[in-house]
Amino acid sequence: MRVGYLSGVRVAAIADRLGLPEREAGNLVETLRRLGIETLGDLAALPADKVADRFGPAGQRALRLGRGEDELLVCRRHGTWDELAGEIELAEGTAGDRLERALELLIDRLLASPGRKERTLLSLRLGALLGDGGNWSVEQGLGRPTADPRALRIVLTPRLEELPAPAISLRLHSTRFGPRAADQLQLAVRGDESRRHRLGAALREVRAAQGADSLLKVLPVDGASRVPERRALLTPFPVPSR
Amino acid sequence: MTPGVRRLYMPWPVEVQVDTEGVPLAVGGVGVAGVREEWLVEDRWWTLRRLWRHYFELALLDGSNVVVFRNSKGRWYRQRG
Repeated sequence: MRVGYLSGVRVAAIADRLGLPEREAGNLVETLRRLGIETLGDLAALPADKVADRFGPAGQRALRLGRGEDELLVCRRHGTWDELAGEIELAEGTAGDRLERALELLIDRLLASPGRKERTLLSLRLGALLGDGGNWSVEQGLGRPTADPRALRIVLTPRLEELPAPAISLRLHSTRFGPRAADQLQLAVRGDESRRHRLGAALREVRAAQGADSLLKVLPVDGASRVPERRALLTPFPVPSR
Repeated sequence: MTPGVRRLYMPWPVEVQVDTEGVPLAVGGVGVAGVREEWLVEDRWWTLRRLWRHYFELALLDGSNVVVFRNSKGRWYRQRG
């Protein structure tokens, strides 16, 4: 069993190696995560017979991958192992604008994460833990690589309407990365954008020198909450993409 | 709470003396001049992380106005917001 350096890798790394349709693979990974199986080390530690009983052939395949018994995973070092993820708990009855604010917060945190290494995103999975104990998640492709928070909000916000029941937590994680934002060709820069680019460069410099938490903004989340600490959050200040 | 996210208006522990009814008499050693308002907050009672707070808005003898609450474990906190 070669679990050594694989043990800390998140289970999402095996999603596209299960030989399943994207949605089914995503659902399996999401289910594992909800059961507390976050890493390949957690997965590898499970008894094979229990995995087979619960998840069938797909689970057995996942277990083999998790234990490093599959050459494909061992050889592909540039997959989505370093996926970014964020989750936020929601107050009772969170809906409408407040739900959108929570999504905005998750997007900002994802984009500000040092683990992104300035890469763009190609697809994301938006998920929720529902009040009735169920799970919901949906894969969202972006069409083109982007790290623009406005673009992410535009495509992800309508998906919130598909929530089948009130959610008690919202989760967002990257499933595919694109090239670094700096590597993308720039078609045109309007005059009023040069100032924005200079500002972005200055902000990146501050964040690189002082850490990810050095630039924050106050994000109103639930201004009418009876619990004061739920009303607003400090969240990473969005830095304009290059 | 999501790791890495900071909330504003977080409560902090405070020493509160109370009477036999559980009403604050002093906060941080400063006497209470009067209770301006009190209210209960209950949330997530259907989960293992139930939230229960008995809030008091108090006028203190030094002229300040503070909000404190007692949680389900009997601990007192002060809070802004």
